[in-house]
Amino acid sequence: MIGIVCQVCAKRPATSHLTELGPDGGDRQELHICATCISNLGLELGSTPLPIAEILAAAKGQIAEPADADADSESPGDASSDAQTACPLCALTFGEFSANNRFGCAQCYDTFREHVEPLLARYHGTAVHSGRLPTQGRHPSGTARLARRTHLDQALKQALASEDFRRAAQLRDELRNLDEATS
Amino acid sequence: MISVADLARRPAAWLQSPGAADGIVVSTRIRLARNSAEHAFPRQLDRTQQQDLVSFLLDRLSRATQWEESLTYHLRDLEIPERQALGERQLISRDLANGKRVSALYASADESMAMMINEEDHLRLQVITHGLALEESLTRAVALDQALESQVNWAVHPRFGYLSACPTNAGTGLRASVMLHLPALAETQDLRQVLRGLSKLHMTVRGLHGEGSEASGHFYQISNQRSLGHTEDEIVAHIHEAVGRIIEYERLARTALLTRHRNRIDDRVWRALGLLTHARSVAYDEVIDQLSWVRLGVALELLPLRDWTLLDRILVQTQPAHLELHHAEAGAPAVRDRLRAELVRGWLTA
Repeated sequence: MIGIVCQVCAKRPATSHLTELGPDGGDRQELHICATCISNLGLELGSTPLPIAEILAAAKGQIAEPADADADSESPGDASSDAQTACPLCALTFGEFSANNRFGCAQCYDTFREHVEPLLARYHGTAVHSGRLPTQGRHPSGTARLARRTHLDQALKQALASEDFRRAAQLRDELRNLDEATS
Repeated sequence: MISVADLARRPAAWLQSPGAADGIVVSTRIRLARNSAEHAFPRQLDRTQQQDLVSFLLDRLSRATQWEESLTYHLRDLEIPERQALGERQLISRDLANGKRVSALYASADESMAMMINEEDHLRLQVITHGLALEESLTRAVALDQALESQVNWAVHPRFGYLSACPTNAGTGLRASVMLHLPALAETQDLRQVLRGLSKLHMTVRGLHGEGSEASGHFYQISNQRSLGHTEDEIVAHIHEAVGRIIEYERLARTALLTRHRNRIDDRVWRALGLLTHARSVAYDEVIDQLSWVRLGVALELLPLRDWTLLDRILVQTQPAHLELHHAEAGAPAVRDRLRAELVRGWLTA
């Protein structure tokens, strides 16, 4: 991850990136940390680093802004604290986003989600994507497939209702392709 | 690899008049915005990180496309006229041509597929072609995107689709544009009404050189405003339908001009040809404006010219940076305007 800020000090660029998966491969947890914080905490990130939970416990009390940001987001009516809310990955604040209308990283969409939904709906008339998603390399998640299938089913019903049989045939093919990709 | 100066001697991929519908449709462009899931968006990257991103994507693009020949330009290695010329050829945006960030262009040898690296998004992929070819261009863009998927983990969200730096590009990341030449609608004063109708249909109208450019020479780019909530096919079909209607309006306006104002329009196209064949100094904006009437005169067979290729050459080759790349003395505007007039006169009277 390039351009990501350390989750402990929330200032310096992260230089080490740890990913931990739960026992069944799910529950992915990530930690981005800089060399200075690694040194301050006396960590050794060798081939078998400490579990992320233990590192975070060791860093307790040193974790800066992002931890406070959660408290801010609990009071959505407070505009000034909203503006200070920072993305834990790229450190862009909501105030900076508002000034330029540009996000700092993919994570910002979730960090500022309560603002993103209405914003997208205003620009696009909806906040729900119904176009393509990557089919190779990174397979769409179960949620994405579900969203896609729901959209295709609805569109197919509409096409049949309006007797647009050419469109209906295209949609059936897309549904079939989705099934094949899933199996 | 070919230098930008040599590239600038060739016709542009997007211009092969009369294009479609008697010169009304000039070109079609499909653009997809993509971001790597492994990097922060460009505005949050420092210069070293931008350099890493450019190297990373260039490597992945070359593996994914496996083009035997390609055009690769690092913007920082180019002189200002070279960067401007890439913009004039519609291979890069004005922002990239004028910007200072570390960025690159990776394009197919025929310039029909071009990828801007580290613009507002990590990757802006475009397929550009002459005439009306929305569906074919979308198919080519999607095929290219699918090839890239095997090399790059794109930032996607289960609910919001492809994620872009600006929320106006999220979802499909698709901008489908058609460039139209609408001189008769402009002349009959109906254009404003048509363009107002487009904004109600959530479409945007821009000038010859895309975002931020003024419409000159009656060239207008029509594109979708909304990129989220509809499939790529639906967005393209929507634009195609609107373009079909505008073509009909322009045809009606041309017929109206010929039947009701034939003398006026005849005089106008001849004056335009007269200016281009006699002027001793002419700015590019004036060339476009006069060429617009000459194009109409050729389409309506009011002028004794049949050579659309010649008109395209004037439109592309007399742009400021194109001139400057081929004529060392053309750096100063006054000299450039004299040189431009001389070239245009020479080509039209040969």
